[in-house]
Amino acid sequence: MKCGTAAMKAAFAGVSYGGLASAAFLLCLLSGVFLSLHYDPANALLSLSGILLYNPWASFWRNLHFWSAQFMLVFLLIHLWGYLRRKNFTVLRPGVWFRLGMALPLAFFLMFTGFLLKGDADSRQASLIFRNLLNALDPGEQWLAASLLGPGETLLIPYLHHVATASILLLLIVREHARKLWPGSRTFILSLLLLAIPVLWLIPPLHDGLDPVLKGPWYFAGLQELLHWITEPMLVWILGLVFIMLVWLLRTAGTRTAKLIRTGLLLYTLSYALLTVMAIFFRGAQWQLTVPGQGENRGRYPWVQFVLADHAKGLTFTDSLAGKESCLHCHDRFRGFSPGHDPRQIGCASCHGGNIFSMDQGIAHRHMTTIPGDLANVGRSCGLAACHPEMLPRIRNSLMTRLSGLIAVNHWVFGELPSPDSLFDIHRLGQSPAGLHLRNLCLSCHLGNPKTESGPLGESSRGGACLACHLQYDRKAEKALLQYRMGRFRNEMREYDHPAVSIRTGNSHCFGCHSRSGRIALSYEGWHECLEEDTAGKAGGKYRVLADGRLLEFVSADVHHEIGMQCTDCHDAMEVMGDGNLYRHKEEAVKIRCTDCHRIAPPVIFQAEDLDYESAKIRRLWGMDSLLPFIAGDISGRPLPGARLRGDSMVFRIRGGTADLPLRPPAPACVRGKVHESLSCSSCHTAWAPRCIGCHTAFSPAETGWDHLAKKETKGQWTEQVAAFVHSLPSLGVDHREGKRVIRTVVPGMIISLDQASFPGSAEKDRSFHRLYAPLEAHTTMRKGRSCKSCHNDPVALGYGEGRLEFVATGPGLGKWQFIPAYELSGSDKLPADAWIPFMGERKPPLATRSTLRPFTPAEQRRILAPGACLTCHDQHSPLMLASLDSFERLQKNMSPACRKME
Amino acid sequence: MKRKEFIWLLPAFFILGVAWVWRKAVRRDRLSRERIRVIPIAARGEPLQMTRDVIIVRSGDRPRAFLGRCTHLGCRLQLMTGGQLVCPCHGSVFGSDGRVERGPALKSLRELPVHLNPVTKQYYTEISET
Repeated sequence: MKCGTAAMKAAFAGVSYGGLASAAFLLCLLSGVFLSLHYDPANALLSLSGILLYNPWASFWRNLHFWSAQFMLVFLLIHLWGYLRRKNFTVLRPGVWFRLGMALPLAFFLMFTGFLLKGDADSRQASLIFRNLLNALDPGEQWLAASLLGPGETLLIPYLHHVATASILLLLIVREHARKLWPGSRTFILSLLLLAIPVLWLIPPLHDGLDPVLKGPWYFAGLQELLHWITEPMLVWILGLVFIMLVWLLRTAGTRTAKLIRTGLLLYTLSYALLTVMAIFFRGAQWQLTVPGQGENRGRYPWVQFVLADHAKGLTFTDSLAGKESCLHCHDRFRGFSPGHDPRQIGCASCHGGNIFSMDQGIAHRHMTTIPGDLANVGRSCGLAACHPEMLPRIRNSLMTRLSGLIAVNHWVFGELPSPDSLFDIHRLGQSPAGLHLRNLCLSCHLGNPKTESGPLGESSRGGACLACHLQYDRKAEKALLQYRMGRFRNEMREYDHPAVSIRTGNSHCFGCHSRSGRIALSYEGWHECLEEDTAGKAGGKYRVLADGRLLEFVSADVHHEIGMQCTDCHDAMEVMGDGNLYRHKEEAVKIRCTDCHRIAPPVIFQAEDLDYESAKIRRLWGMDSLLPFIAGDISGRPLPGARLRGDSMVFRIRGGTADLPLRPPAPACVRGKVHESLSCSSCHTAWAPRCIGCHTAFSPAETGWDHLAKKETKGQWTEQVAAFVHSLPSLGVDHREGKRVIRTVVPGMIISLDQASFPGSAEKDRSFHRLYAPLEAHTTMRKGRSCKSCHNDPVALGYGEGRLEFVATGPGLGKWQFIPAYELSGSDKLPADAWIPFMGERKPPLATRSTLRPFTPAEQRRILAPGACLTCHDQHSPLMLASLDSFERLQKNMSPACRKME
Repeated sequence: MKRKEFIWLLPAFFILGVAWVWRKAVRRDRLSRERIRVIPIAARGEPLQMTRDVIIVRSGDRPRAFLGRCTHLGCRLQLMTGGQLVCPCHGSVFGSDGRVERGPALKSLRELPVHLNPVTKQYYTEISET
């Protein structure tokens, strides 16, 4: 052993760090000459990614060039430190000492220009920083930046300095200092041996442009960290100058001063090393503190084994967002993409991540996201800076992500929030009784719910963020997925029918979540959810069973569904994905109104130049960009998806359709007189609405539940027992939102007996009963409005619940209304099970799931029922009743003796 | 001053002279001609929109435009959750009104003038490029 050590010592006798630095520098110069044959400063990133992918021999020179430069700097630093520890420098002339002192800044400049020449995302930002640092020295004429970096963002001047100016100057200094250029055979061989491992195994990193983490070269990482803490860039130059001055003073300093200077330099170096460690290991995206190995870092360290094999024979590589990608080398016959997401345009890594510069399957697929677009990874896929970054804040603030209204109402009913109109966020949801209630029963329906399995969206699909609306599987893609699952592509996957990601969001995308709660997805298509016992005795009905086992009965479809309109024909991108604002309830976020299309007032129009980027792009993708001018929505002020002016008339083009449909204004009866001016369109044109009557909710401590938000089991679970699902014309209520009095359609929202006492830790008094109605646009629009009697003589419309409402004579010329409920009276509040208010009476709040919503007051009920009394004898189309639309008071004054007036 | 010392100073004067001429020659406005790039802005649209170099904010009647570069050291900004603009290089954070919410940057984002074309009624802004 001793013999071996001695032999090693003898073999490398005379080898110094300075010599190793010189050898590394020579290797760097040599490899640089070969590398320059393959490098194009005008297309730096493309030429380098090309080298990585299909020119392993040029890649060898690049590896040697990079690693020899790193070794040179490291050995130079060690050599300098050893040199500065010498006792006496006075033998050196001032000029020589100055040039030696400049060797380190010059070496840094040489290395830094090399870093800039990568032309990747790191380099481009580093170039901007360096330019601004130089401009801090020379803010007026900026000649320093122009001299060192050139006028624009081209790499020609840095390239010139790298290959000529800095290299030649450093070579001259080395020659003057060492008095020779050749470090000796032993030193040269040793440096080659040291370089062999990194050169053959480690390919230097190249930022793929998709990674949100941006860092400078390792030797300037400390500087980058320092700049995070200081606001004045000039301080960097001052600190650098102080360092050089300290070195300069060392030559003539006395023993005591030299010791102080050396201590100062040591502290300088240690502080910088600490900053460097901080920057390299503890900083992530947006320079936030992070734990090493975590965060959104996905492609910065493509350590690839160097293989001298001609991978790319006969193949072409695709230029993507990030440069050239290796993915399509193996997956070259993937089909099925929409034009905007074709990997021949945007590559594969912009969605799926991975390492685009590696030809090794394992390394290329490392950190790959199989199902991109979830909220957890959307920042690394759809929300990348080069793709749709503006969507991120919108999606994260949207109601479909935050579920503000649903959570706030639930917590209010449980007594955990003071108002049903509080702003809430699903990410703040705790484990309280109300929180667990939602976790057990509701919270699979939110955009943050990750899509965990590949495959098309179906009736049971929930969440999936971007994919929830934009994933499109055709039959070929479904077949390909099946084959994949059966193992057909285990060895090779060149050909595959990939699902598309496109703008063509259909009703089926919305169906999964919106077939629950208000069930508008079911109602729109005409389906009503019912219980099996409800079908007894009904022959000839049309039924359907959903994938989750729910039974549906066909009632009647929305007139818009019948002509083929999809949800997104009304609800535009701003409504669906959010406009960035926080909303408490869906009715605040939804801006579309029936009167936007079916209007009397002349519309505001949008010409092509008025369209914002998003609206213009959506129209172009649907092939509707030439259909001008578009009509603006009254509330949103945005162009409606398909409505436009054609000549003097308004028409509607369904997305993907070819025919223009005429848009008719409201019928004369809708706008005649003022008696109905506060009615929303849906009050009359809703054919039916689902009504869920009575629900008992209790906690079962012994059962094991499922937390849909956290995706784990819960000890105990909330369960619901539903009394009845029925459908009828909707009830009506008064909404005072936005300072206006509007009559809206309402349904029983939460007629619920809540057994909170069953929850561990709750008191016996925590049993409660709630009778709350909720606003609902049922999406069952019919062409012809409901009859007059269906409001003025209908107990459901007025909020009394189902039953018999009759006008009976009480004396000559007099009559009164009486009501016999269909449902039994509740033991909790002595009202019929489905009622909102008592007959001709009122209740104390809380009354509805919105603070702005209320039932009719007794005075309003009387005003509604008074024409109802007339309608018991007179036809609604009779001249007399039509005249009442102008003034019912005048009609009442001129009543005939045969008429009965309401008591 | 001795004649030998004066001769030694000659190269220094020469270098200073060359530097002076060099400085004049590579002045930014002489090295390249500045070009004005016009960026059209739609009056309606997303509240916060980010293009390669310009950030467009729509909050009132008239859109506003900011240069999408950090005022600390000029890095291109990234749009983040919550409508904030973050510098990926050193972590400065700006609000959608251009004001600094977190350093190291001290100055608000540079606001670009937004003009209205009287003929087309189209808003636009301009940035200079070299």
